[in-house]
This record gives sequence, C-alpha cells and structure tokens, in this order.
Amino acid sequence: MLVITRKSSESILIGDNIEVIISEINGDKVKLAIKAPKDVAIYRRELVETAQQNEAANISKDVVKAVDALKGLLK
Amino acid sequence: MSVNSRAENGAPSRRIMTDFGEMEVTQSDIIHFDEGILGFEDIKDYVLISHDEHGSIMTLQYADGVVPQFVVLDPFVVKADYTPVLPATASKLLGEPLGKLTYLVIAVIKENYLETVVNMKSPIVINTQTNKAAQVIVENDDYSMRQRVFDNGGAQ
Repeated sequence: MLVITRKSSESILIGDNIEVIISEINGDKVKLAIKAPKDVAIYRRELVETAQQNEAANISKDVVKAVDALKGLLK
Repeated sequence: MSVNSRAENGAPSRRIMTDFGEMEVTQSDIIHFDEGILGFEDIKDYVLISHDEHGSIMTLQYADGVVPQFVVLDPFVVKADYTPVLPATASKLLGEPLGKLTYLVIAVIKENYLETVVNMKSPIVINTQTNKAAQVIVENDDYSMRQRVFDNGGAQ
C-alpha cells in the first residue's frame, strides 16, 4: 500500500483524470474534495459495507427456527 | 394475495403472510423508509413483528411480501450503554414531529447461532411519532458493524 503525507490544500493524482484534494483538516476529521469523471463511482466505505451486511442479513430460510434459537440464547 | 378487511377498531386493514403466520396490518403498522434500507433502496414499507414481550428480538419484513426480511435486535440488549450519535441528515428522514426514537440493529445470523453478529454502526432509527424510519451510519467511532451478540460463544 502506498502511503503519502499531504498538507491541507495539497492533492494527489490517481491516473490521468482523478484528483483527490485535502480540502480541510480539523482535529481528527479530514475533508476531501474529489475531482473525477462522472462514471467513476465514489462511495463512503461504511455505506457499501452496510449494504453488503444487509444483503447477508436478508433471511428467507428457517426464519422461525433462527428466531426461536436466538430468543433462547438471549434469555 | 392480500384481502382487504376492517380491523375491530374500524381502521382499514389487510392480511399479510409472514413466516410466523398470517397477520393483520393497518396503515399505522407500516414503517416507512424514505430511502429504503441500504442495498434495498427500492423497498420503502416494512412491518415490525415482535417475538418476545420485551421487544428484544423482532423481524422487520417488507409490508407487501415476505422478502426482504431481517432479524433485528434491540441494541440495548447487546450493549446496555448504547448511545448512538446520529448524523445531521437523520432528522430530515424521520419527519416531524420528532418523537421518541426506537433503535434496532440488523442481525446476520450464522449457522452457529452463537456467532451471530449485529451492525451497531448502522442502526435503524424509527420515529415513533411519524412511523418514519431510516438506516443511518452513526458518528460513534467505536461501534462495530459486526458486533458479536453472544461474546462467550465460538472461537476466541
């Protein structure tokens, strides 16, 4: 993994047409500005991970059995 | 397959199928997600079915079908001092007036039930005044997306 130190208002270039600019640093928060072509999808990681978790959580089989088992374990 | 009928209090109701049997729902039972649930953005209306008297385990099911369906837990059962910090965008999704908020966390059930995890970082928040809900990513840094429900089970 490449690790680069940058200051506020500095940027990095990824490939020919993506630029990530450090727009503001405030305590433990960093504001990024990203210039990229419209067809490049940019997501916050937590959103994608949560969507994947939700897909894994969607349950259609043995629901009653699972609920009963968990109920017993929660007691 | 739903049959229109009237509940005893006169409110229009319909019957829906669930894995736990047929259920009669009225409009006030519907929990509406303006933005759906992450990964299931197109599905906006759900019903919540409680499976014990404390509301510690429930299923959240699509109001017009059996799928999607999620097993959800009361996060306070998992972590008694759960104090989620909501993002600023949450209030818009929850509608007005903002009443008492109910939190639920979605469970991923594992084959070994003891390894079941819940997403404490992305709870479902329900505004009980408006029945509007949203799944939000809380600001807390220390809440896990894969929190074990039973910490004594399985491999260490």
